[in-house]
Amino acid sequence: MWYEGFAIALESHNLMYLLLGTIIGLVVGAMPGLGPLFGVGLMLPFTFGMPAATAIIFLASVHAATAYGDSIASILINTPGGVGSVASCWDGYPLAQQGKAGMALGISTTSSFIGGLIGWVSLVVISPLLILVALKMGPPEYFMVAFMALSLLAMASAGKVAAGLALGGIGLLLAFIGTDPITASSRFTFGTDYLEDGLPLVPVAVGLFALSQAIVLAEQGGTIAQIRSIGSIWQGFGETLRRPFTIMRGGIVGILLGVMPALGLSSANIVAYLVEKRASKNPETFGHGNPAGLVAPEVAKNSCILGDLIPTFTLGIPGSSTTALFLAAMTMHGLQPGVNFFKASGPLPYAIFSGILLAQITFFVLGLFFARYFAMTVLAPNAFIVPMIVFLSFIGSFAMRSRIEDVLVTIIFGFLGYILSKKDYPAICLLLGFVLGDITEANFHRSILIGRGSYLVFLSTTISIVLFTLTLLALIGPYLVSLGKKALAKERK
Amino acid sequence: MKGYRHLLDLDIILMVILGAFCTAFLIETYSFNPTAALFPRLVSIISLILILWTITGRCWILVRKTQDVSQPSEEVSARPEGSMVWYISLVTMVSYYLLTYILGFTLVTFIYLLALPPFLGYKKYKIVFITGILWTAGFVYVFKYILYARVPEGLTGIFFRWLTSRL
Repeated sequence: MWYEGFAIALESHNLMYLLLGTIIGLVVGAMPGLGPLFGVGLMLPFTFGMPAATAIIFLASVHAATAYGDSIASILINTPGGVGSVASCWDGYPLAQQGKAGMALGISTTSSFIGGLIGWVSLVVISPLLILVALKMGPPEYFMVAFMALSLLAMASAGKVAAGLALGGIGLLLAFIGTDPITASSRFTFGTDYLEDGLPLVPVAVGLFALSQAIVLAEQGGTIAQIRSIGSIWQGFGETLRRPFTIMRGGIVGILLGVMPALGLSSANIVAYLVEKRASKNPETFGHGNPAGLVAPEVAKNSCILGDLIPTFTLGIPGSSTTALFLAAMTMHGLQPGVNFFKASGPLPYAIFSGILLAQITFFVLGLFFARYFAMTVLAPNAFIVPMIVFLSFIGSFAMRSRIEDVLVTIIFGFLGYILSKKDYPAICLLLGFVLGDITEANFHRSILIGRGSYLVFLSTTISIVLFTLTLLALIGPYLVSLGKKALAKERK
Repeated sequence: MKGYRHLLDLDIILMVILGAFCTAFLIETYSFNPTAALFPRLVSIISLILILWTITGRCWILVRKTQDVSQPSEEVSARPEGSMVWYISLVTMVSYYLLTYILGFTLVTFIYLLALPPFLGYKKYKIVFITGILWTAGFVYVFKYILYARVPEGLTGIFFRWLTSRL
């Protein structure tokens, strides 16, 4: 079956669409704010007349290349290409500033490819096992996962713990705007229709990180690269392969968050970055151009987007909005995702999986050859780049829902992001709170309902106890270790 | 006088604004039913406590700096704050947004791409003009004719559409 599948995927028209999808994905992904959801959504209507395998392969290539292309803007101009590549800015951009933009893009290309491979292997080999775990998870476990991710706020706060946690709280409050997930009543809309659906994620993220960066660059003047060099793409290739444990950690985070519905792309890269920082022997070098700080989120991002597909293919449950579009495409083309997906559709599932693998290879090859030209951006004057960032941020914010008010949200959060960056407050805490707000609250209430008002429901299963213990360890572990070290040093003296 | 100046510290002003934001949310929760209010109320109270803690910490640092005259103040060590570039950037962004309603996104984008680089000190007008045209044309082509995406056309666009339909 696999042989037949690969044979179908390698047919000339499929390869042509694979290449076309990759190019479109790279262009869309490189634009600030426009991520895989936009890319796949935009291309979905074009697949109506295509055969099933070609359509899914085309969408898979757009999906993979958009996710990879997102990192280009993150690294070169410190502007997240999409919500899935926010963390790629933190060490990617400092590398670009140090005249190593080529190396950073090399790391991004290789890590994204490896992340894609990890995701693909999980999709093909271990998805039944992962699904068993995912099926055992209920609201208390999901709340614990969100709580665990929120515990990372303390680490993301870069030394300003109280302020970082407060910003996380404000992010949560912003996420509560709109309709309450349990009672369906409107909250914090202050009488405006626009806020009924809640604040949209893309304009908030683009404002906080892209627009604020445009103001910072305008102030700085000159060029992004402080050294007139872009470094070698191949150096990035080597830097990535030298970090197998970082790759492993990023891959595990990406897959786990990808498999869980609703906890997807927007949190995977941030969580992977913070996990890597915690695991590192030199956490102080993070944010100053540590290659590991770029490898981890890139691996996590691409393994997550394929992890997202696992429940889509095997259960027929979309792991994210993007995979919901995949589900729509599959249904439109007569495929039946679910437990019988492999049995009922002949060689077609294998062709689709082969196409997904080929999509990873295509963006990897194109990325390695063309990243150098993208990297030249860092040598252009900031006065020239700033209007481009503003323009692309505006169009990125607008394009998602075609609402001009979203642009105003981008401006407001851009100014807030600028002030926060000026005073060294971690804007990422605000975004992390905002991303996790919905899932935290909804699962909190559902758990309480299941537990008939008892808070012990959060510790009623083995999975939630394990997650709670891990969260506690993550929070107090470093303090215990440092206390232990101090006690040991005292004893030695 | 020095103590009075601390009230104008940007960190404190920022935290006070964020605190006011949390307070507004906290007050608003009292108009919700208990289930819908529970989580936001909890989060806004915790956030307020953390903000107060941050303000106290900042005040403590500032008071200690005032007392220790030998230590250089933050204002001295920081980069000189003479630049109004952030202000220009913000005003142009807001203008870009507001003018979109009148002139439409395409025309405003063209004007913005031409006007901002010279404002920020880029003097190669020829390059600015050529790239302004190329970017706008590329944008129009990709969004309108390839992606079929809708862009705000503004009052001018609506007028031109009306005019062409009459002709």
